[in-house]
Amino acid sequence: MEIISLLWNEIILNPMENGLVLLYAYLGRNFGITIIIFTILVRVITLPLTLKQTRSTLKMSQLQPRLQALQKRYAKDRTRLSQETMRLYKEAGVNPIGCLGPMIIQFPVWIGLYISVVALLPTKPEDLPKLANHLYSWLPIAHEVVPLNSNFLWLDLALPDPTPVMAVMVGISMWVLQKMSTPAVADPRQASTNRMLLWMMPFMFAFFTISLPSGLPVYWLISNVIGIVIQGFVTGWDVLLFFRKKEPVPVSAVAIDATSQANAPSLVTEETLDAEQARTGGDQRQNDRGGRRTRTQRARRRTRGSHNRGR
Amino acid sequence: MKPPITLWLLAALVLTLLAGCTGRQFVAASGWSGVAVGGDMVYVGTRSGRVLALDTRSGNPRFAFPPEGQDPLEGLYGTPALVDGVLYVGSYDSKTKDKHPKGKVFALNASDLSEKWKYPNDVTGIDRIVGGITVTQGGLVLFGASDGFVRALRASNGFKEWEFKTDKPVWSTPTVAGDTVYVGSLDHNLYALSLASGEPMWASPFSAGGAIVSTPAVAGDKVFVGSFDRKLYAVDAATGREAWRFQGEGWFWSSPVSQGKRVYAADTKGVLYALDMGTGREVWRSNLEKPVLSSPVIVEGNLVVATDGGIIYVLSLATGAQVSSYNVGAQVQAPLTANGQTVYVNAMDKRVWALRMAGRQEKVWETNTDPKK
Repeated sequence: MEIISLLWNEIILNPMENGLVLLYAYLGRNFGITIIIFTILVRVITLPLTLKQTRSTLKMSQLQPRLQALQKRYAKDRTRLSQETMRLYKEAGVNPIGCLGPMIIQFPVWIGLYISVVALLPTKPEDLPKLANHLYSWLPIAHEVVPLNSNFLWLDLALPDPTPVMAVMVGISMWVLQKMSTPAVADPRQASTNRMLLWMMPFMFAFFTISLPSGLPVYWLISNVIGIVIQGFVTGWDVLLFFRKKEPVPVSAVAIDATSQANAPSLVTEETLDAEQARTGGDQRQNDRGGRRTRTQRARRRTRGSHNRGR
Repeated sequence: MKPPITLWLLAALVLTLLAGCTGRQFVAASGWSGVAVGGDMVYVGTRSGRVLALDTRSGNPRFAFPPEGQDPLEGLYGTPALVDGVLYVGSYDSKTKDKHPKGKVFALNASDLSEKWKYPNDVTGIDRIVGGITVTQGGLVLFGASDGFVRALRASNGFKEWEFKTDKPVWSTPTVAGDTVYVGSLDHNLYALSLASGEPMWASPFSAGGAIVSTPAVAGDKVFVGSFDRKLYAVDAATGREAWRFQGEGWFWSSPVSQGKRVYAADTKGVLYALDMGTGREVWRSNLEKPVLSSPVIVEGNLVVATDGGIIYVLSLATGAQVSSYNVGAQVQAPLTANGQTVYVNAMDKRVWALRMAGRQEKVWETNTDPKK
């Protein structure tokens, strides 16, 4: 346990605390702005993973009809179903657990940030001297700026927000991000689970916002807003157009052409599956990587994606 | 779609962990008061929020303020001051519990800890008081507060004589030398104020590189004060100009003490330094290994210093060699108090110790100030 504690302190906690103090020293000595810039930095560093996750989620969403067809076809042969599912993932260039990456990276950041906020913004005098030995001795400015000013807007970042404002903002931003990033699924059970999570997670985060030092909810809020922007640019903003009238698209009108089959098969029957299995998956993989996709194809894919979600 | 479920389960797990963290930091402030000695009683602000009068010989509690049955105060940090049969003590308040500050200064009759007066004398309070109280021969009660003010009250009735505003909280205990009050602030400045009026005595305050919480020590024509920038400063008492600075390894949280031509100061890296008062040259250093937050005292030619590791060291003033040590088994952050050969220690486990320093250290008594513990 001691080695884990040492690694945690040396690799995550101390660099985070010193980094935050350094940002604070050079950003007008405002800890709110420090957390905002820190959040942006974390988001920039994890951007490649986030993009990968977002695209992977999109592809997973688009594969749903085909997965459903497979499930129907191999309902009595679990081994074959598993093999075919994996083959489908491989062909589409999707890693079924790839979307975990950015989230897993966020966890130590959350925990580290919580501990850092508690350490850097003590709420009682006996907590302040503990900070002395956390700051790097080769970073004189870190020692010169403590104790840090914890006031930001109406918040004392060391304490929970006394108003419900942060809880509401965190809840709403998380709901929007969830709404945008939840893949459309054809399986009714999964759709039901997703609907539950869409509401549960924002409520949970809003609840934690009420009781955690408001420095952490500021991180969540900014991180959610950045996440929404990234998601919007990758998958479109359609989901935010709540009042847009959705025009039903005749099923027959959705053509499945050879080049976009893996990307957006809104309707996949066992016949098309058979036809596809008869072919090689090489050109599909190429298309899935998106390198040679035309603007028209991408637009068409987005439209179909929104139709999928609308159903 | 198994991955998202796994993902959210993982998120729920982390949130549960975070839930375990909530509330952890909102424990009420408790304090690190030193001990005041007078007559047959010693007085200490306990970490349970009461001022106790303990029997000097046995350590048994005789009086309490507020008395049992009344709500305790929220945190007692500064060492009480005992002058002419009156005990002066400042209380902290915790803004996590109440929006309005409840910090107050109390004057208590030392004989039974009954209240003589309080400031402010109404239901309001002033912002958190962390530093100690200094009472002058002329009857002024001086203290700093977290609202950045240094205040002077009349000792007889608690009426305010003057106040002086700094830019950040004042956790340092004011030191009086002649007609000047020296006090540090978290705004990095050391101020020299007129005892009579509170007006600044220097053209501009002395600016250190970091926050100042230690009590300034005055010796000869210099004021010595430590800072969070890991430097100990010697400042000309008359002009506020820097005489020298000494680079330590950690924060100088505890207050320096002086004797003869040397000044002694310890830092949060656990290093104790003996410096030449005139030049700031290091004479010796002793590594005590654990942070030192408690201000040391000089007893019969030896330096007594307590560490955060709970060890009370007795060191030779001349060489820094260890004479003896005593383990009280808990962190010590309160300043030590010496009375003759006896040193009083208020440890963070709510025990108060009386240790005799004759030859080897020996315990006179120890008292648990929290009967519930």
